[in-house]
Amino acid sequence: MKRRDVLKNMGLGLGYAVATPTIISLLQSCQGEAATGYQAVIFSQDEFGVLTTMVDVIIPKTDTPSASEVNVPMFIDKFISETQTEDQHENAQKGMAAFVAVALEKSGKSSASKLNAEDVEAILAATLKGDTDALEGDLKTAAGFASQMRGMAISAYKNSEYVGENVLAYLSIPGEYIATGDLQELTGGKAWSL
Amino acid sequence: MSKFYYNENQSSFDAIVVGSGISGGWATKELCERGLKTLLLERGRMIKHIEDYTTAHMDPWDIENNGTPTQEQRARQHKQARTGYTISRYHSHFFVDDIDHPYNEEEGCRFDWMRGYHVGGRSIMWGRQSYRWSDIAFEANKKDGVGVDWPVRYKDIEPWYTKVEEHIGVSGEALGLEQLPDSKFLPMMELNSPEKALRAAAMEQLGITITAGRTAHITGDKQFEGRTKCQFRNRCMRGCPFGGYFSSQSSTLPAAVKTGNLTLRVDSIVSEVLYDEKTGKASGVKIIDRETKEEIVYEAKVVFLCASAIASTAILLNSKSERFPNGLGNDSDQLGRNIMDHHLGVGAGGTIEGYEDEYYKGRRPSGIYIPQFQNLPGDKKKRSYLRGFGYQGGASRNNYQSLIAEYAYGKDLKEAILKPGQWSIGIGGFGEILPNPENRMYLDYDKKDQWGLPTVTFTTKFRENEYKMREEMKSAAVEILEAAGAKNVRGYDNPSQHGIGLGIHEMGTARMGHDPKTSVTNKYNQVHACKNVFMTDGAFMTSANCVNPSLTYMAFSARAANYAADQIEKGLL
Repeated sequence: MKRRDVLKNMGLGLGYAVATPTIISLLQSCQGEAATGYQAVIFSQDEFGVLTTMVDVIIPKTDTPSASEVNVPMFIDKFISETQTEDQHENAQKGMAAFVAVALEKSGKSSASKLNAEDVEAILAATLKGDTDALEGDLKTAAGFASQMRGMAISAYKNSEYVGENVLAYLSIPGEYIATGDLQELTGGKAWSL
Repeated sequence: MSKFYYNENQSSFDAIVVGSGISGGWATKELCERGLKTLLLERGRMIKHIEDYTTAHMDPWDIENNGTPTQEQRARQHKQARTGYTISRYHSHFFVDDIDHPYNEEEGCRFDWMRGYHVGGRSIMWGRQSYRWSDIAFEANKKDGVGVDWPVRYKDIEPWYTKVEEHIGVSGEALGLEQLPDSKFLPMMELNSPEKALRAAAMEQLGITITAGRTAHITGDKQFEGRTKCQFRNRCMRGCPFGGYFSSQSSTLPAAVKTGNLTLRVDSIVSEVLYDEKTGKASGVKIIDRETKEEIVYEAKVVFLCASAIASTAILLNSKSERFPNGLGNDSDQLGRNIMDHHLGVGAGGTIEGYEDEYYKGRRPSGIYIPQFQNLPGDKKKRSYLRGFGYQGGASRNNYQSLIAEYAYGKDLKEAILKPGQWSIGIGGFGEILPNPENRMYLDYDKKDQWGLPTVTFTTKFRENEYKMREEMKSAAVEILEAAGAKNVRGYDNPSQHGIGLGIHEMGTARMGHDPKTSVTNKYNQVHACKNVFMTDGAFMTSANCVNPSLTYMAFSARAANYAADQIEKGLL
């Protein structure tokens, strides 16, 4: 279903009610159209922009969609806000603040809204590659946050409808069990999505 | 809406069965098939086969937050959450709300009471692993001088295992092991290459047997009425629309319905078994309607308590009369004691190199099984504990951690996460817990639930034997995986899982025995002092063994139901 159709149907049923999490989820399931205008809960709108840039550096667009094209940033913000504790909310917020702080320092820019993919990648390189145990201060906090976001982005990406059904090998009802088969023959080298 | 299904309320019943789960379903089927008008009482709501499995076809993206529970849900299911998996949104509706259904734990004690209140009970969410007991297990208490002796041996229960297995279907591999008698098997679910390599190495280097998990799924070509064979979706806990595995809904209830003798009443919380001082027998049960809170009495010739060990025992403890001031059948003061389970959360995991061109098709709803190899006749190794443990586990390809380390982000990472990861392998122990009278439950009449019923308080904890066994459960797991050449092998013993009940195999609160002075039930599951009350859920278990118990509950339920029918025919009940 197209997002605008969902909105149209919602309009019929709900009189354009405020988007509740359920409706957001409905929108999220629409393929190929990134949700725009999502009101982040855990992060500020500028930070949400940084998160979007970050997950697209982690999972960029190739011949398959980028992370943000399947609404990974929205999933992450919503997931944290709905399933995690207040302490975890605070940790994510502190992590993001640290990440933004080191990115601004390194890029010499004045606000999070100005950070671009190169600026974000520089920090991801510093926090995710090589020996990260020796990091200190904001960089250490940023590294923990980057690693957490990477894990959540991978999970959200693989469990999104588009990737689950079209990129990975999707088989809802296998009907049989083959314990040992040839990877290429079974899935063409892809992982099963379920 | 009527609370009755399959038949309207009858003027009289021959039998009452309390609880519609694994044991209750079997008791009901057998009683109905023997021609007895049977009232099945279920405290929870109706779950219709197939149509009420609301999440059965949901993919991760079809469910909020990919199935991760919200904080609000966690607060309402704070005890059910202790397993880590029961409150996933795919099946959390099959587990109770802990605010609505409270229980208590004495300080320093812990009991994890994982349960669901609905038709079918835990037969919907059960693990489906199905293993016969052997005489080694039935004789263990006598040999070790622990608890009391089982009044039953393998030959007594063997035909009932066979009967049950022919009806439910158990997939597995015949091995001829003394400690793990073979079932009537449907074709086994095959092992994959790393598992086969593990099997060969364990046998060659350690003399340890590895086989496929024996599981109550239909495989092969044998036909089962109203059921389809396993489709390898591994979404069993949500309810199977194919009837691929055994549940009350897929298997025993349809058989009972077919006889015309079954009346099911839902929303029926049994508060007590009524004792008739004149006849010296139970006359029936009193229920409280879950919704209206109306109290209703139902009478019958026999009462089968199959509400699960804790709940059935709570009903008897609350059934007070002049004859039984401490609860019906509690002359021995053993009612509510000797709570057992299987302790778990200990084992090892590692990675497997190679087999990169191999993959599998289908999501196998089972794994490998390593039968008990400790403290068996002829075991020469000196063990620091009594009894033993088995392992369940498996190998699969979803470990992309190493790839993440290699490719921090970007195209290479993306490519890697879309491929099957490295093979990983893991085995986790299921250990026997010894019967201990201090591991017990009692009723708290100061803390009542919303139906005015006393809540259950537990004083249960792991003891020395369990802790000693866990050391070897961990070290032997490492040894087995290393024997097969697994890399990065790490043993674990998770302290957050040091709780009785977490195996969801709670049992033993109305143990079987020869002597009414030291046990609650006799060899036919009858309450010693009130012969028309039968307990055939986990309550009757005299010891725990280390194998998953449901198949044994089914066999004993079927045997007890047929015994009851015989006794009724003879005019003895």
